[in-house]
Amino acid sequence: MASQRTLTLLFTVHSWAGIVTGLLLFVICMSGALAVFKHEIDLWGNPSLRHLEHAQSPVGPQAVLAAVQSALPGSKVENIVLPTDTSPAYFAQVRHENGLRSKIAVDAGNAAVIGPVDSELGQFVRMLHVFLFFAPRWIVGFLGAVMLVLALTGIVIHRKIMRELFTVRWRRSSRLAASDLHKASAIWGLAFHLLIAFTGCWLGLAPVFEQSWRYLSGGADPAVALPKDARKQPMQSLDALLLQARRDLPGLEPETISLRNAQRADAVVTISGDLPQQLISSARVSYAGADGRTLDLRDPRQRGFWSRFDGWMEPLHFGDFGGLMLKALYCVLGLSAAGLAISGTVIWADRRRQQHRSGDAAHSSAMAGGRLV
Amino acid sequence: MFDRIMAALLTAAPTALLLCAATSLWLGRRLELLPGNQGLGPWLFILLWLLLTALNARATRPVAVWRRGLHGNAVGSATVALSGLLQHSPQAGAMAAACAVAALACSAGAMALPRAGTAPVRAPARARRPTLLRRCMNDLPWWVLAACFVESFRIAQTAGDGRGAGHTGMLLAFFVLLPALSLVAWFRGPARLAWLIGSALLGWLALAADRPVLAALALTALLCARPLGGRTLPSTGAAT
Repeated sequence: MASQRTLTLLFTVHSWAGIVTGLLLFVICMSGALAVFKHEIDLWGNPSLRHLEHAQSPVGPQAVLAAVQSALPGSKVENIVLPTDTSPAYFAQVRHENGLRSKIAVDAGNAAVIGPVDSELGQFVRMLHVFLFFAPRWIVGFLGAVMLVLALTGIVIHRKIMRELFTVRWRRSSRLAASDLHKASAIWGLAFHLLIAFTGCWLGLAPVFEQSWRYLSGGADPAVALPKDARKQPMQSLDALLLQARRDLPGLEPETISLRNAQRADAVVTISGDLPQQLISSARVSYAGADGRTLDLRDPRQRGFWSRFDGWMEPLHFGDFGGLMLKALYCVLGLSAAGLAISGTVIWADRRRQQHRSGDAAHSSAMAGGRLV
Repeated sequence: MFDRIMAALLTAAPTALLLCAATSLWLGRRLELLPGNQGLGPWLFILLWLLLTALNARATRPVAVWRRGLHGNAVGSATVALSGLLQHSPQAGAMAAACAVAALACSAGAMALPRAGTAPVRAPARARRPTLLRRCMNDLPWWVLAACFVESFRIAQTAGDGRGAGHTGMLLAFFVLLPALSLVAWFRGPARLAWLIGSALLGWLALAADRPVLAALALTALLCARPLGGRTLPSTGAAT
């Protein structure tokens, strides 16, 4: 059993960490709950795609690349996003000559270029969640660490877990109701809150730890090590590379094809996706565009426990491995995490008001006492 | 005032996001959302958020701010649902149903709030406060810690080999200095030791990476180890 001193310490840490980061945590949890439906929101935000249907036999990415290049000469295709259960179209992310990027929808049935999408609302919500629009991902990673501290300190503070699961005193004071709601929702959602806090912290901070370790150990950044050769050279067919990727990474469900320095001798084609059987994201394979050589193969199954562990983080954080019902559950529990920020703020503000009032009362009684004397 | 602003900020954020969604649906390609494409989406969100916060926070009682905010969320959800239906968006029906549930939940929440709420607070009694110099000295370690983090963050954002030093600096500030400073009132010895080690490591890192500002901040942090010893337990009240 924790001593009173420990409880005071944990309570102080819990309340101060909560009030300092509460607003940001609310925004992150609220946008995260919505970002679970990123693909659905993206589709909803594009009325021009409403007539598209899932193609029985979709064309390959090579046809999509050729169609976009002929429709937008002078632009560079940087990514091709493959159709999914949610989205029936191909999407090509294109960088124009003026440096701006746009996302072009392409009919998966006949590779007809539909045109720029109406909006990227799902990505907008996700950017709010992951980057707070402008910040690097580490900020949200640090906030994940704070959320983890809040959850862990909360567990110890509210030790009477079983009793608090079912206690909400609506008809007493608003502070009591808020306090009971805070505890009950925190305990009901505890496993989920710990999960998203940990995975969020990992996703945000793992690259920072990696960079830091590389700096301290004097290792080179692998992204910088690729040779440069700007001569023009046609690329291997993306369809063939996609087939090769399926052979190299058995079980791969490809999501994105990234093109770096397309149509140059140093072109690199990276095919990335999920390994749904193993609940792993972040599998990818890179090929030299010119001759189809394998440059880099990242199969988390082959790279030891930590690589596999790293691959679990994204699906576990965003809940995109169990269909729509799981997404709905993630959304509701994510909103409950946002609700904790609200109820925590209410409790803190109410206590602050009460402290002011008791300060007032003490001041008045001291004044009265002074007069009497 | 703080209560009202916090309540207004918390309740206005979802409304602003919902209104951004509706605006995006109506304006289509004319409103670029993503900041990477020089879009105005984030600024629209921030503008709407601040505007709605200012409007909601004008209510005199915190409970009225919450009520206004929840009604705002309900209106925002309804707007999004209607926008999708009118624009014939894909999956408009499912989205409208989800928004209707959200709107009903928000309205129910607004109605469930107590009518009268808490009485407005009188100005707090003037307690004897420490002098400005003493307060500055008390808060100095926090300011130094924040400056160390910001400077490390700045270094991590720059191009070149020194970025790793910034990453390491951020990790040291967040995982060593911040816990040390937070817990110094309870575990004076270990926390001071952790603070000293963290500051020394930060200083070594700054010197190795040739970052004089970070080195100066690390030195200041080292010097702050002495005032850290005088910090006392903050008064918090009992846990609810």
